[in-house]
Amino acid sequence: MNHEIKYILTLFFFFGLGSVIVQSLLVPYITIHVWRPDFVLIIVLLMAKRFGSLKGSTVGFILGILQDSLTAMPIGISALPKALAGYASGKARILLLGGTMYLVFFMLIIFFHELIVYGFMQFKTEVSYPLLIVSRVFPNTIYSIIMLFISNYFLNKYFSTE
Amino acid sequence: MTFIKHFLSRFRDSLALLIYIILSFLFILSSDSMILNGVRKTMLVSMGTIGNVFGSIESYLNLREINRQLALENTRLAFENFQIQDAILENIRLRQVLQFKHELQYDLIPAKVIGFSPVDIVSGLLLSTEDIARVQKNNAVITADGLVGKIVEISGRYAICQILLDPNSRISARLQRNRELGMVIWDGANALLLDYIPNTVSVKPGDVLFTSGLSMIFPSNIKIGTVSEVEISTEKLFQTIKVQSAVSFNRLEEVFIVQVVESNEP
Repeated sequence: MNHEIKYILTLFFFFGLGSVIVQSLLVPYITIHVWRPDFVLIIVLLMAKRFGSLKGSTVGFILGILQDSLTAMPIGISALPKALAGYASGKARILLLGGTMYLVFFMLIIFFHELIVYGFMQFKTEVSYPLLIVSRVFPNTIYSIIMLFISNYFLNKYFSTE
Repeated sequence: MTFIKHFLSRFRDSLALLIYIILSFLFILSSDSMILNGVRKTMLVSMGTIGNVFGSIESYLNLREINRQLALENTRLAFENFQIQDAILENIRLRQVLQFKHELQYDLIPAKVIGFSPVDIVSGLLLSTEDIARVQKNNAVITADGLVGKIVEISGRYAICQILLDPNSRISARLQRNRELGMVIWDGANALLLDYIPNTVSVKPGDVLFTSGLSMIFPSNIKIGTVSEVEISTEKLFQTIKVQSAVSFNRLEEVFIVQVVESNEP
């Protein structure tokens, strides 16, 4: 097992599984109205940024499965958008985006991730998709972006490529 | 062969993503498969164990406050109990006169809330109980305030409770004032909607909703919530009725799982 694989597994164990625990046990306490950040997605984005799209999509898929398994929803609903988010975030590395553009790219990924998640949810509820976009997708995206900035500030040394 | 190797190494990222997408759809379509149930049960036990540790620390820190609230609640309930006893005796006498022989009794199993479902939509609670052997799928979950939801998954001494704010939740409800029947669903935010109430029926803010008892899951007369807003549109057959849930889902610490005990005693 080479050094990078060991490092990925360590980060996955501490931050990946840690984010699922945080999302389940602590995030409800920082929920504003019905809006909550997605720490699992944040870790997927940071890991994909560090290790590329293959590992990013794999981490996103596995963490999504674990996240789904703690809900009453079918398994796979979070895994699909998280695998896509990990893939897109990993691809950003080869686009050689600068600081601000990287953040804009991440914002778009989070927004599309939420769009897909609530796209699935709208089949399960009588609430209209446009209403869900206004009431849930936009606020959740903004909250997740703020948490991404904060998490990136504290965890940058672990996920930095330099 | 070289071409295939070259192709695989060049597009391995995209191929992996394609596999994950296909797997995700397969999982969504076959969510009850043995492997996925195994993953679900393992995760539930692992998260339950961690949640229990967190919960124990939090409970210990809040003991004094909880004790004070319980003492207050105890006094209030004891006072109410005196007033209700007369009504119960009268009810028993009337049932005997009417010769009602079949009735359901309920046993309450206490459970602790140790976590929440980790997706954007709060759709479930992770519960822990010492008496898990008596808990079954679809058992109703309540608190002193009202209905919380139902059990959807059990593993080890842990269970997932699907709450009323889940997109899949559908509860048959009855308005206390006029006995009208409707269906309670999630409103997309932090409240509920009472559906299938025709425009001709009078519903007012403040009306109280109870479970109808028509489903096999929820016993009758458990409080669901209170009507907060009523909107009548001539273009629709049914009213849009917003309901404020009786239970505050973010503040739940202890719940009770309802076990039905069938009794045929006269």
